[in-house]
Amino acid sequence: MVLLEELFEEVLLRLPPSDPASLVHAVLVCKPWCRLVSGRRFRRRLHELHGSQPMLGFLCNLIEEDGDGYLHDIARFVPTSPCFRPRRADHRGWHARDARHGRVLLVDQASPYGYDLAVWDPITDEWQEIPRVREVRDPLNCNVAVLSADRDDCHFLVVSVCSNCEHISLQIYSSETGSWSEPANVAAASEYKVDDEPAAASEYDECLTVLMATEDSGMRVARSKGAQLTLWSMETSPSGDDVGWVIIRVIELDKLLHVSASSMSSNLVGFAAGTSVLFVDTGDELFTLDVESDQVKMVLKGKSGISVVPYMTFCIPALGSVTTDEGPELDDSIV
Amino acid sequence: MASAGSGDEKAAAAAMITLISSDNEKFEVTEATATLSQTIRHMIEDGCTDGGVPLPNVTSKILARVIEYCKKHATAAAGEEGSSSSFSDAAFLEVDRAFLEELEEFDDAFLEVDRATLFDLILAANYLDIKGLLNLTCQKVADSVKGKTPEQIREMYNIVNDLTPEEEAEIRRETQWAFE
Repeated sequence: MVLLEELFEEVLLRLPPSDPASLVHAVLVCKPWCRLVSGRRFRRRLHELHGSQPMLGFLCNLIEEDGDGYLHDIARFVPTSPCFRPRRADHRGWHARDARHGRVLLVDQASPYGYDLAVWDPITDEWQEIPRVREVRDPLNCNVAVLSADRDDCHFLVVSVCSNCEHISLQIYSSETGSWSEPANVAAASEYKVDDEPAAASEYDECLTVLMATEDSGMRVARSKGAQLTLWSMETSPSGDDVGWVIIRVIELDKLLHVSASSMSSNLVGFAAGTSVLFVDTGDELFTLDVESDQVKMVLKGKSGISVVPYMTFCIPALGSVTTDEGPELDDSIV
Repeated sequence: MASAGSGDEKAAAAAMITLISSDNEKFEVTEATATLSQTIRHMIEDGCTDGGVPLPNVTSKILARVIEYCKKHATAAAGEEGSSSSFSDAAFLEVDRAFLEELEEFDDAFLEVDRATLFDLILAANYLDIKGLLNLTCQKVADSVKGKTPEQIREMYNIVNDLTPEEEAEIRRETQWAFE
């Protein structure tokens, strides 16, 4: 009574992505399963079958005082799935800026000019420091993101965008070549000024905004003021000529989170891409709030002034030498 | 035009296909039931179902179960189509929910089989390319693997461990968090 190897692929694809340990246990069953799971075909099919990746946790940027009264920046991994804990949760002196495709991009808080970056894989605990970005003249604004460079997620890219009054400059680092590209001026900064904000934007001067991309490539904006959270959706008029913002929901956060409205200064601090989950900081506690199901979960207590970066990935263990010897990987072209 | 169209649909619904198992037993099924299998759908489209469809990989015992599944799910699919035009929205939702509940109960009962039968059903669903059945049966096996240690999984499914102790140690080192 043995099931064909290729049909075990169908079975292993259906292990719950939010329980990454079950896939690791499966890998240790035998060599064929090990090869199967680490193959590129399995990774591709996992995306096809499950769509968006599960959130295994998030990184929050905290400031903590040590015994001698010194303050330290800490990027801390807080698990939200009961099944995953990284080997090291804290990176002292670092600030998490982005996470995609299983990798986290961190910035060294101590570097005064330009910035020192590192890429960390919480699943394998692999840590890779990136050469310093060439300095941009008088930058007003800098942003960085980590992307996957290929279908197998073997290599990654780091994109750095800096802007000053006149220029937006872009540089790309490739883990394959280990170097940064020459800076490219993409546009004069004024061309990218956003002037079509949701209506009555002035009313929201004091509030925080999170831009959410929905699964069907729509766009939403979530804004909070006091205890009220407003969701806007970008809608096209029936004629297709006009695009505008429509309020689709107003959520009373104090009722949903069971906190007193008077003491509440809610801050939207993040959004899990491809899902409907927002992070809401009430000053004392951090909540995740699913705006589709109204599911609320308190995920961190007693910290304030933090920013969060959600960590979402299909956990596929990195399997070095075990999978490279003997035995062909299932051909990618079968299906 | 309309009457001609519905006449064609009736003819299609009534068309019967003969499926022949590996042990030569014949099963008469409607085309609507048979075409839940993409493999058979393609055969019908290519016009090669006259004289029956031989299925040399599927025994009569398993084919009977597969047909039972397809009949139920083909009825559900037809019911859904029909109800959308003949009920108000609220009534439609009610009927829809009742259908889904009934279907779920059917699926749960359908999966009450021994492991050998479950594997045979997976093989048949894969060969006949019946997506819903493949999903249902594979999910059942996946649920049984979930939360088990590698040793328990090997024992359950008679799998020989061909990893060397060194390889096993390497993987465990890389994925230490999964065993804490």
